Amino acid sequence: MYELLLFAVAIGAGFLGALLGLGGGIIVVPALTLLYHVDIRYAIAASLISVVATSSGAAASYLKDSLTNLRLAVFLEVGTVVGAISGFLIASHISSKALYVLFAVFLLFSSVMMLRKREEHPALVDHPWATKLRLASGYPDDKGVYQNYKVSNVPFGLFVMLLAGVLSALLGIGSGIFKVLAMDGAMKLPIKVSSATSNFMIGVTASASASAYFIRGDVRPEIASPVALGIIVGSYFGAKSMSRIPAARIRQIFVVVLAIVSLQMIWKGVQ
Amino acid sequence: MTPLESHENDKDKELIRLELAISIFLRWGVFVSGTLLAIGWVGLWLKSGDVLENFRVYRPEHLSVTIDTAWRAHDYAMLSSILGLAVLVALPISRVLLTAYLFIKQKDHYLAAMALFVFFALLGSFFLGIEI
Repeated sequence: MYELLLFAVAIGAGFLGALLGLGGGIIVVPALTLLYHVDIRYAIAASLISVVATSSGAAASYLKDSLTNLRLAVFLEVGTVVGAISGFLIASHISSKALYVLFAVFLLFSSVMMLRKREEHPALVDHPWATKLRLASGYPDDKGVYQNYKVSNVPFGLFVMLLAGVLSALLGIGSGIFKVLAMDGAMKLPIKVSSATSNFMIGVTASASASAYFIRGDVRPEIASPVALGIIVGSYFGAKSMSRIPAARIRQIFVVVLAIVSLQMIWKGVQ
Repeated sequence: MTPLESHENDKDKELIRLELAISIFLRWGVFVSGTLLAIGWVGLWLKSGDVLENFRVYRPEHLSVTIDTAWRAHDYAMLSSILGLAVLVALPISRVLLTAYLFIKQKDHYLAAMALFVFFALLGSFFLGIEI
């Protein structure tokens, strides 16, 4: 019965994760630790698996729709993977309580970031690195018209990706918010491209650390199977519902959820 | 107008065709992994029921020990789950290798080198999980 409930929670996490571009891990870790009292190391390992599932499923659609900037993703993946491996090495030397507090701080930060109003502010010129690597591209807008865009602040974007990689390994989440913020805010990409490219990358970031957790034995099939399955089902329906549900409303609800959960995690960490 | 129709450049068309190939690869990978996980989870559940409370305390057990135990006990549900998880974890790694191939074919050496770096970094991370 408990595992069926976990499966249902994972469907919800996948649904919201797909809508918000977070990968679902941000719900899975608190659910496993707070509702089921699973040790946070098992929870982090299971959520890394779910991020990989969400990312691969979403990437298929985004690539097909030409929303993912493949060249930019490969460039930024260098930073995220190096960060993820560094995060894994650090995680082995940090106690569970410290992870709780770190995770809670990250949730609070995410809440604040999600309250920010998003506006399109396209880059007028390419950064020299963007020109050299031909990172500028195009995407179909809401009307299906192909729009070209440029890419700015490339070195800063790469640095944030490295930081996002460290957090991914430490907290068991895809750090999608950091990635979207870096591409949308710093590199001035269209929000659709930022979300799609972030979704594409979070799987690689998560798999870098998930593979290590998997070999070590922290990814328990008894936990990861219902979680991953639920995430796959939920993210499928989340992607299908994206056009019908206003993202702003979902984000408002999610900010409240994140704030409550982060406070609970801080309480657990300091006990 | 499809993304393919919007690109007049043959090089871009080739890139989009390969992007579509990666998309199909990922879709099937998730399907295969999901099927194996579903079979494994249902099997484990029918055999042992709810076991989540067994994981409230962290007890390290290397993957090789779990596989060996499941193999000796003919626990095919556990083996199916582990195989499903392995496929899932391998998907991004395989996708990165496909991407590297894509850029090598495009003679885009910078991006090909980056994709290969990511690929070998991912492989290296596997070895970080093994206690030597």
